[in-house]
Amino acid sequence: MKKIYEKPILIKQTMGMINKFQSGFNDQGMTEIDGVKIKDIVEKFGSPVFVFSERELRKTIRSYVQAFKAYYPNVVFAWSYKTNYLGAICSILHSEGCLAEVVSEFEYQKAKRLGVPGHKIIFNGPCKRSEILEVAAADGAMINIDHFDEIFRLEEIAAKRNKKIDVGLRINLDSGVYPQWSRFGFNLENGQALTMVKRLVKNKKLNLVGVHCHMGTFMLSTKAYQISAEKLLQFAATLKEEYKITLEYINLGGGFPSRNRLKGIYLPPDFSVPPVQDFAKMIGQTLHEKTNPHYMPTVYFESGRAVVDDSGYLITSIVGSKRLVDGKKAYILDAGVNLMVTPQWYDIPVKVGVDFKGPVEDSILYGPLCMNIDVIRDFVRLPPLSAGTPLIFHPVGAYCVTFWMQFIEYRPNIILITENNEIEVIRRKETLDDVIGNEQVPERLKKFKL
Amino acid sequence: MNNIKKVLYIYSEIFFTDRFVLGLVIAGITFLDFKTGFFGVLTLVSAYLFHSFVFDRFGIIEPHYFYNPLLVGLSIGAHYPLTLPILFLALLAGILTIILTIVLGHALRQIFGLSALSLPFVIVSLTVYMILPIFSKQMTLYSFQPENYISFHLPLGLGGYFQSLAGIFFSTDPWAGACIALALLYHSRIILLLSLIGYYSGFFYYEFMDSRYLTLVSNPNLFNLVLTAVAAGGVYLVPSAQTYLVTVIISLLTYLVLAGCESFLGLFNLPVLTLPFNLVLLCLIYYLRLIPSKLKIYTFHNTPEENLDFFLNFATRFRTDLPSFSLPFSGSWFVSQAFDDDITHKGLWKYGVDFVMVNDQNEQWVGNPKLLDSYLAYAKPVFAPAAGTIVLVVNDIADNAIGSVNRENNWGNSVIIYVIAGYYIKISHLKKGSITSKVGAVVERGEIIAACGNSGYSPCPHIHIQAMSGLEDNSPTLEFRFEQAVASGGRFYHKWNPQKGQRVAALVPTTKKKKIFELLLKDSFDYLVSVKKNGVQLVEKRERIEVEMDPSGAVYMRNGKSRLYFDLVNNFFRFYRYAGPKNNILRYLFLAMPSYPVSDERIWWKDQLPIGIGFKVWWSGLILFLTSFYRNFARNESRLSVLDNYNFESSGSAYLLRWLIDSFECSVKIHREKFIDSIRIL
Ligand SMILES: Cc1ncc(COP(=O)(O)O)c(C=O)c1O
Repeated sequence: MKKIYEKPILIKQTMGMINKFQSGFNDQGMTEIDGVKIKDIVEKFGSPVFVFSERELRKTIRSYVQAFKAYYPNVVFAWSYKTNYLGAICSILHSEGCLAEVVSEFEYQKAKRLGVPGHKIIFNGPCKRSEILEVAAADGAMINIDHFDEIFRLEEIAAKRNKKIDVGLRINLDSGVYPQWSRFGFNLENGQALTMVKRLVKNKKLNLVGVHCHMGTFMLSTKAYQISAEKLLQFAATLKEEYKITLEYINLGGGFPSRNRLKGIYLPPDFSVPPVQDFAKMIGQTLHEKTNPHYMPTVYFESGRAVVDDSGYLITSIVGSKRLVDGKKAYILDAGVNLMVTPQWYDIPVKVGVDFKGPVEDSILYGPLCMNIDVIRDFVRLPPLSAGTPLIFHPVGAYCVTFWMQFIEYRPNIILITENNEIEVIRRKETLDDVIGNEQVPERLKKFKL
Repeated sequence: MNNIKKVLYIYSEIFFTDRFVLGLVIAGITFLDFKTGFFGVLTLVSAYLFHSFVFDRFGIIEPHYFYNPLLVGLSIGAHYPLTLPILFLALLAGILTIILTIVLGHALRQIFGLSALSLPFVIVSLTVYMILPIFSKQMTLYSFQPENYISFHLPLGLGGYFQSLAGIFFSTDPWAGACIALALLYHSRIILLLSLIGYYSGFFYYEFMDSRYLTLVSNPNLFNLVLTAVAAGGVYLVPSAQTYLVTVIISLLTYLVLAGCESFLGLFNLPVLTLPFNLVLLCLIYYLRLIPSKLKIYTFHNTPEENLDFFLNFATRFRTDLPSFSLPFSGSWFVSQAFDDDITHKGLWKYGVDFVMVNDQNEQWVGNPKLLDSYLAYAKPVFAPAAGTIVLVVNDIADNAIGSVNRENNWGNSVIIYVIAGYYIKISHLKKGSITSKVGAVVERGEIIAACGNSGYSPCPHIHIQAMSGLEDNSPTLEFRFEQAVASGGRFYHKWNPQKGQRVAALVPTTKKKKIFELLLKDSFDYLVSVKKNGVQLVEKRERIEVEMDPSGAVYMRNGKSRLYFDLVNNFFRFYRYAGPKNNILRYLFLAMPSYPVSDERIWWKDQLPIGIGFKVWWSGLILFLTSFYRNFARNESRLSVLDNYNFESSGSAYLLRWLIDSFECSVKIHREKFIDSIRIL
């Protein structure tokens, strides 16, 4: 094979990089996903392209469910739609027994369209309009109230239907994590939550059947869940004692971490992210301490990121490279923050799609957008790579394909590698018609001549 | 009307049941000889008036109190002329009998747990006979001497059979007996058969084995054998081929006692009445009380057919004969060794089960298979499978490294729970130091008691569980079942017989479903019943179902006079007995939903309906008669599967041997707040 010429470079030795977890590159590229060649995928479906592994996804959700159920039998996972509401992904998770957790009219309708019965939908979020609340109430969905005005709205609906509505309360509490997400739900410690309960009891229009607390995302502390579970069950005990309310469920939200690499965390995920077993054990033991064999409320989790992140890959290709004024090597990729918004918070691990040789050097990765902010990694050590080389970002299963944007570029194909290593397209690449389909150009503006 | 029915029930009580038609026939027969019938009513009335007067409460007739006074009246009427002194005597005798019935009944119940049967009748009648000896020649029925008894000849001793049936009611008329036989045929084929067994066993003994008599005259006292056979085989034992055989033997024993009584009472020229029957039956009931027989009946329901149906249905559905308890873990586990297995579950220890935890690739570990910590089962909590007392704790044996075993302490760390039902549960190979309870502690079902470990003869972490008759290592293990288990393929079992290679998890109940199925007394539900045929509306009416409790504490749903008994134990809602006509909505409820595990899981399960419920055809009585000879003669299976939290389907199939006779499909919608919303049956 013909050797490619690469300009010689000087690399400055930096002390900071030398530690025992040195994440330098060896010369092994990542050439396939679940036995399917990256080269073949790019050839067939273009670049960039999102790839999901059904095997990985099923394995992860099963291991989560198994881990928690081994400690507490009455655990149910709900799939947090916002994390990834691709129909195929949701359907896989529903087939594994996950309910749907939605936070908007759109997500609610999508879940129902996919065939999720209303009573298997958990309806969260700060913006639930009356129209969709009415539908949710009629469907018997699990509505978790976020703020006072929502109580008004629901009581109105109950009065109109002349029937009590089962509701849950979203609660925020101090579990030792910072920042505390106090903008959602009612605060526990300052008595706001209990005041709301009094109000519900007094008005007799809503039936309190559960409490919900989602503390944040990418939580690295098992202790926080223990505190949260403890406080919620204590709250449940108070309700039982003082108001004779038996809560049917406790919803501990999501937030378990994936193997992604949070910025500012020194250790790589294998060392800094507690395994699911640890969360399960900590939470499970607390649940048992605070419940008894006669009262075992259903415990819901709405894990998003941890369930789907690992099963998602983004294959991009190098479009070109240049050397910046400060001497740093820069690569321009065909995927940027339009497809991965999260680089602000995460250093998403990247792998090279071919075997390679040569010394690694600090590089910066830019996306295709003609915008200064389109930086995916501002610091990554890469060997010299030529245009056309595929790079693989992983894990990107969470949030990317929902929180993405059609900005400047089309959104690419998304494919699924099945458990038999076959490929199915689960969202085809956008076309011009897709993008402008909803636009309406008034007749009078169409007649311009240039 | 209701009270007339009750009065007729008194007559049918003599055959151990409350039945209108049978009572009518018997009452009619007592009036064949007007005097006999008249005296019967007379003592009944005197007993009733006295009792109600003292009780200060009128209008309540308990049939089982009054058949003794009735019998006394009949016996006086049959033997004495209608004169004022005798009339007076009969009135007093009736009162004496009701007092004796209540006193003797209470005493026998308190001391021996028995009932008085017709002993009060025997005692009072004998008293009367001792006061006024029987003179009339023709009435020597009870002081039996073959030479002055007119025997009626029909082929095969049938005449004697009819006469002994009639003799129960102080008649010698074989045609009266034939009427009773017909009434029995209508009421219960099994009772008819038993009466024949009783009579012909005695007939055989009397004709061929009893050296005292060499005559072809039949012995009317054989009715004692008829009564004993009917009671033993139809009331106290479950009808079956085995029972019929036992009944033959008991009838022969009754003959023995009868002969003894005849000889003894004959000395005083007194009749034996029903004394032999009372003696043998009381003895038999007591005997049955003392032995754990599978043929025993605990509560009697009207006919042996109903008894059989209830018994078979209950036995196959609920396996109450075996110890049963919950799975000792949470989540889904895998059976690596079941009962009577090839590795270590043999001989005395054959009823043990081993569980390991596996991932979706069927591997027991994640990561390095050489490390104990990689094993999914390791350190997972172990739950008390039943409520009980901790009677043994071993907690300090080190956990083995993977692949090695401890041969000195085979069982490793173990805990034994004594269960009040009378057996022991042992769980072994636990993690060192994980057992949280001490000997003597009382645990609840579902409490965490230890953690899965790898101690003792255990190469990799697993839970071993067994039931035992004692707590020593060499106590025999007992066959048992796990309750409320969801096995591979989502099949739910109320009582699960563990099978190697299956995955299993305990059913997970939900608080919501518990609220929906926890029914309280006085709860009532209104339904609209609509029957359509070929799209044409045939019936449309409102029906109400109410929840009530009977004196024994059993709860049932009532609609009109129909009752459907149910309970909710350990998160399993079940219907177990229906009493009422075939076209009642409660029967359809039973058909559509014999049971329901109060959970939101997507499970399916099988259940069995009583034969009397499932078979549409009127001949379910005949089917039950045949089933009494061969238990698998008829089967009424139902298969239920959950569609979602509030909907499930069920389908029923009725089989005779292996032929499908009848089938139906139902869909059931559960109400969001209480019980059932609607049922559709096709
Ligand atoms: C209410 C609620 N539940 C669940 C989730 C899912 O969180 P994660 O993806 O961190 O598990 C979120 C995410 O923001 C949320 O807001």
